[in-house]
Amino acid sequence: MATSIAIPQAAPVPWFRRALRVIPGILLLVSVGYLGKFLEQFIARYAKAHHLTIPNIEYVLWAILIGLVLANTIGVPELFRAGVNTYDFWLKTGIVLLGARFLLGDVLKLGAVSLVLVAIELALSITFMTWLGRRFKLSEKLISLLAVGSSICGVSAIIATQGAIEADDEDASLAIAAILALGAIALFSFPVIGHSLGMGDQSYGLWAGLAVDNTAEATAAGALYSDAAAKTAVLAKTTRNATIGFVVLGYALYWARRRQAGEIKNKARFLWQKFPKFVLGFLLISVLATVKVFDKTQLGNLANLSRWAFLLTFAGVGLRTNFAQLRKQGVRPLLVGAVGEVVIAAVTLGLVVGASRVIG
Amino acid sequence: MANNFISRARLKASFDTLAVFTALVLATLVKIGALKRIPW
Repeated sequence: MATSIAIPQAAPVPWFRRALRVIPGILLLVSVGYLGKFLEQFIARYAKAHHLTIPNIEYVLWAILIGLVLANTIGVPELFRAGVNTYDFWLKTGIVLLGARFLLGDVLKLGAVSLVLVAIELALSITFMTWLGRRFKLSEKLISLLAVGSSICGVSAIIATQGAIEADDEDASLAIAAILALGAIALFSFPVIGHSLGMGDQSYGLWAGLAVDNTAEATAAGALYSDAAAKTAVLAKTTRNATIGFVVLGYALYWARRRQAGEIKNKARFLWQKFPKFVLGFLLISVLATVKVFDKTQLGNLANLSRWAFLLTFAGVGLRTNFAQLRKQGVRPLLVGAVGEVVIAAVTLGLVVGASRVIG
Repeated sequence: MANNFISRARLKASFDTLAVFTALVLATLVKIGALKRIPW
């Protein structure tokens, strides 16, 4: 006789409970971010009052460092995790609001230069990462995920591709860990390299936007250099993000042809689903600023709202980076990613130096 | 471990539209004068 087993169903969590769950973590993001800002101002005031020459450490670095120390010593308690994971929401909100600081003409000019460089960077990095992954005998789907992660936009691209090519969770996890670890290294090494080469704000921002994989790390790497570099880095990275649908579609078709992933029935719908909508928000705010919907004071307020949103993002970048967890993910994918990233960074640096003659 | 990375990454993807909506609401509040002075 057949017996039925009742599987307990988890009751849906009401929206207000979910909202309440993120509050402690958001308060932690605010506290860490604000402490970073306070430390920058406090040290500058102290140095001025005591006639000391102390190098200015930006709030960006303080916020990331405080987050890193907390996450890698006492850890982030469960109570705060849901809220800390909202850092990507603050990043995207900040990017959309940053549109107010761009006239559409600048977006089109710099965006067009970025798009040409992104196309070259995509072709080179996908080809190189595929070749390198095969040399290291990684699985073919892991190679696809690493190639997408390092060529477009890190974690978001990996997760979009994982669904499209039906890759294992394990492969996606390895690729995400490699990209996050390398993002953390890039965050600190890029400003040092940029300063040692004497790069201008725009050239450096373009380089960070093209070569640093995750949008949060690219924004932070730009902000660690200067406010102007952060603006350019965000624009270049946003251009790179906008290509995500096309690359994921290419990989989905490739794996479907090899009968290892489902067919794509409606390509236009697929592209729209994968397209990052915050890019459209950024363009909309830029158009509104260009046609003077906002006066000067309002533009200043929007820029400051964007800065606050980024402050929470930078705190989140530090708080979500746990080196012990990343180390457990294995050496080979990390090694392939690291070699690939160094080559991509060198090639994009060459591209940016060439392009800087065009953009001035 | 895998699920930890994957679930966080999926959560990231879900923020896209909400972020655009929030930014547009904030921009509207600034435009109508409800947010008059945002310090930095």
